[in-house]
Amino acid sequence: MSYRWRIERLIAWSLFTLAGCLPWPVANADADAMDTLQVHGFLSQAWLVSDDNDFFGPSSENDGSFQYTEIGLNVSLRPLRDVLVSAQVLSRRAGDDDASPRLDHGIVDYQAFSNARRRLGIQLGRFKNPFGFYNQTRDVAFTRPSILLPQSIYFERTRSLALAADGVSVYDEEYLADGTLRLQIGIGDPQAGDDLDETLGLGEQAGSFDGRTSYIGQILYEDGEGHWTAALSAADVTARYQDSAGPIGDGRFHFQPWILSWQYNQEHWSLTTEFALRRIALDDFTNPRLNDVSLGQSWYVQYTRRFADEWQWLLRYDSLANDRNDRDGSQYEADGLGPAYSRYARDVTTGLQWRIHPRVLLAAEWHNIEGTGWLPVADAEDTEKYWNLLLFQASFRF
Amino acid sequence: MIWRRPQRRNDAIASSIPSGTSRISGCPGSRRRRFHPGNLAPPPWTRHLTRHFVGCTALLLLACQGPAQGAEHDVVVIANQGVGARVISHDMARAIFAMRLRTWPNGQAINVFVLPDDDPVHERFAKRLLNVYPHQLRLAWDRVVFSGTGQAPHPVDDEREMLERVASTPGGVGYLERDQLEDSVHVISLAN
Repeated sequence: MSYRWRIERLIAWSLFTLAGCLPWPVANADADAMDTLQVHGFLSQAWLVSDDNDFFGPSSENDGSFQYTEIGLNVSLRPLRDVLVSAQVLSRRAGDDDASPRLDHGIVDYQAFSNARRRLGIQLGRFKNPFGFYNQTRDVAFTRPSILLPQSIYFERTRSLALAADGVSVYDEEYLADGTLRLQIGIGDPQAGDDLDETLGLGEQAGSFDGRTSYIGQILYEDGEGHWTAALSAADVTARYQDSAGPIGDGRFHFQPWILSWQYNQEHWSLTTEFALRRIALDDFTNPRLNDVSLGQSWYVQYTRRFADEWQWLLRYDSLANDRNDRDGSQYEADGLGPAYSRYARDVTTGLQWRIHPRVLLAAEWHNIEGTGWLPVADAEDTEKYWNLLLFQASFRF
Repeated sequence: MIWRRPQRRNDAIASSIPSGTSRISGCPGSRRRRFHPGNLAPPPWTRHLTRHFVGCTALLLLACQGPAQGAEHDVVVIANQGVGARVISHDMARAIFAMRLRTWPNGQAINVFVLPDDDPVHERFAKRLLNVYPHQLRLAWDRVVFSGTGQAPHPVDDEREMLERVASTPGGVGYLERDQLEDSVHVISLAN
């Protein structure tokens, strides 16, 4: 398969470059490599209840939905003292029935330089995309402030593209006088899942998307006092659609998001905000009707308050517009394409997290939502404009 | 002792200076309090004498009481005897305990040991020496582990075990209250 071949060529090329340019990894003389083996994991199960609109399964039916489960197993090892090998298998069920385990990440990470002023390294394999504050560990409940991440930015519809890429990533961390600057740049093939076909209304078609060489980068600054963090993430993700024999023909899909992130921390509270512009383009399609460009806009503001050591309360406003030039969807509706409210979503969320044990987290949250802009397409039938969603989740990690 | 968020540069350095030199820098606050009687404006002829008396008392108190008030409960970064570094920067310490740095400047592998999240010594260590809160550290560990960019630190139950594990593990690093220090490990000072 040409896809796999390209990856192999990319990895071989990177290894070759690496070998030539960087100091050689040094054997871990101090300890047996197996002493460094670590195994971690997590498991979470949610219960979703909504008054209208199904989210992750039949949430609006009598007993709600239990179709939101995340199970992960993580193994890491330091075979050489500056090399880390890490792999994670994830089984995730979010409404659909396909919860088969897949490789979430699989990385060989070589930290070539590490001194008092900087550290610099390279990752080969399937790496998690540094996309906003939460993308890299978006499926681990313990790293999320709420059960559902702000859906305007971390939504399901293009999840597979944003999640991880197969290729090479380089990171650099500079320790400056007033803080730390972190850079990461990655080149690789994204995983284009069925979510993309469905989002673009091509789920019924024979053709499918195939990830192509894509780019992602993030620059992040953390001030020396540890109070605030700011980041800018950008990506150019490409997928190729192949349906030579069918009515759609071949074409290309581009996802080009920019995300500006900012977080302020105090001992008992944090304020987080992210703003994203998402350019989505279809081009090169034989059928010219399909070629289209849209610019979506997403943002949220989130306040979290910690109290009594184990509790955290969250309040968030989250806003999504699928088309920046038609934020309320009125033009979309006037064109007879569908209801206006399917083009945006405004979500007021409040939630509680209780860490009853370092390994156990219980959470509950309530969303009051206008619009169905981020409702996964598989769930988006017979929708209502105004709806409420209540979630409960129990999580365990080791 | 009233807890005050440290001025990053000075207090944190003071709290991590090896015990032999910590007497003066250990309790600047108590010196200020000792001079209080001098502000009551005694008759002019007593002023000279008073100043001497107060000064001597203050020095005496500093020498005897000072360390007992503050320095003993200071938390210091400790390392295995084989670790060459004696002074590291704050940012480097933070990168080490956030599990982002893997090797010492001499190339030796770093092995990080930590007390439980709710241990008061861990809390003081995180807040005063690293300027982060324990929950931020925990989040940082979860993020490096589950994104494949790092490993979790080795957990220890108490300071006794901390001392033993750091002393016996090549490249080992951890932290202790100053009065728990033993010769089997050495102190690493934090500077900028």
